[in-house]
Amino acid sequence: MVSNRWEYLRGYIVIQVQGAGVERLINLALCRGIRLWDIARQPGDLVVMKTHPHSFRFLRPLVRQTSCRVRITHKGGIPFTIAHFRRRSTMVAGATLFVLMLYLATSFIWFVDVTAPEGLSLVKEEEIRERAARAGLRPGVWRNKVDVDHVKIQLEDQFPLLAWTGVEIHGTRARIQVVERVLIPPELDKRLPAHVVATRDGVVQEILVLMGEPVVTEGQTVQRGQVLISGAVSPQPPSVPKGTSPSQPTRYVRARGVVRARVWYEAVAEYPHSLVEEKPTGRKTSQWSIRLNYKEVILKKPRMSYQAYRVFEEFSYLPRWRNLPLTVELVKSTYHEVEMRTTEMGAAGAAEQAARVATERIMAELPEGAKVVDRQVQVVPSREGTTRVRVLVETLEDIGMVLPITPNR
Amino acid sequence: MGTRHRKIAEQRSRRIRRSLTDLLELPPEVMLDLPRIMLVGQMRVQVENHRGLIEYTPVKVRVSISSGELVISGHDLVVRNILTDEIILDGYIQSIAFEV
Repeated sequence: MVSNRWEYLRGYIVIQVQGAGVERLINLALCRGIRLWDIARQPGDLVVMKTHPHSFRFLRPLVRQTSCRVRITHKGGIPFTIAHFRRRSTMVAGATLFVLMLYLATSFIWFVDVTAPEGLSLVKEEEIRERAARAGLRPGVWRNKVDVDHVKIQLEDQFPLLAWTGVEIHGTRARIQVVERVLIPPELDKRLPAHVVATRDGVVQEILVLMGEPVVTEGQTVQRGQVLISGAVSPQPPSVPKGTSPSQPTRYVRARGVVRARVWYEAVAEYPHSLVEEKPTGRKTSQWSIRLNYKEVILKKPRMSYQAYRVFEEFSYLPRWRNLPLTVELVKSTYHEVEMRTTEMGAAGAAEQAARVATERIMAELPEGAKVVDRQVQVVPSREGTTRVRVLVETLEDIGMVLPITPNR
Repeated sequence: MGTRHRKIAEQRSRRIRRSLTDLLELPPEVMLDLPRIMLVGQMRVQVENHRGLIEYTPVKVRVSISSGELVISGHDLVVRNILTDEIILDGYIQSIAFEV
């Protein structure tokens, strides 16, 4: 059976046949090679059927022969639609013009947005807009004429206070994004009053004050963030109780000094008693295959008799077309033979290794200038076949850090 | 006398052809000029090797075949397609009968 779509392409007519000899008409039409389809009897002696427009001429004599009456009720399909539009050329022209205008309208920049996620305080938005317009980006300009990189460079040259400029074009909208430079806040100025505070917990070992007033003593335990040398200097010697002479106000200085303290670090590590290691023997072989949606077709099989091996896969793809991901890939699998080696080191060896690992971890954490004073290794309970150790490292280091203060706080 | 002879001759030729199709495993509708009828549920019947349409109404369709008539009854029957050797009927088919 010929599909309806094909008939739609070729064009068809719907005819209405009235009379008793419809069956005879159908048989005669068949003999003459006139194709009829979708024959349906309507109430009464009306029969509706479809045929090709050019066959209708040949159907006429048969109709007369079988004493039927025939009438065309509908014409359908592409040829008739084309003829219809040919008679209405203005409408077609209008539709084409509409599409053209729409396309033309979308090839211009209509909007220029200036956005600053961090806000603008040093540069004015109008200035950016004006500069961008001079560089060729303004509403009404043809989209392909805008050189985004040029605009960006122009803006960055013109406004040194901008740390970053981004120019993007989305459809008919151009977006200029700018971020201003952040000027260093005055609080971080080197001359402002400051405390020296502890960066870590520890026990103060020695304290050397260059400026300011010490508030901790040697042997005292301090916590992280605690003030060690105060920038607020009382006008009296520390022996005189505070507040006895309110006439002289407290002086604020930038405290300086060295506060050396004992600090403890702890790390736990575990190590197995026997260690299985893979060692490549240097022998390798490869397999080529094509992978298609989780199905794999092997092109070249690897020749190998390895006991143990590691596989490395390399994929090659065809270039992506548009945004359709291609699911076909060429896979090269390389098999590297490996030897399994078991190293038995026992509980003592494992403890040593664990201690080494834990110590390394602590050493990586230590600040510069820290001096290791003591190291203790304790074996702690662990799973069967492993040894777990806790390593305690004691250091002597400067824990002071300058933190600015505001006088009224 | 002549007609009887012809009849016997015809029967013999038919027998020979039938045994030949069995021997060569040929499709019988090709050798014996029989209609091939395909039904799709109750909604479609396809008759190949027909000889024309005798009667067509929405409830009854008679199709001429080599050995007589094929009467298809049902309702809402529509001739979807008609070619020189094939008819496709759509609708609600209730029965198909052979009449000599």
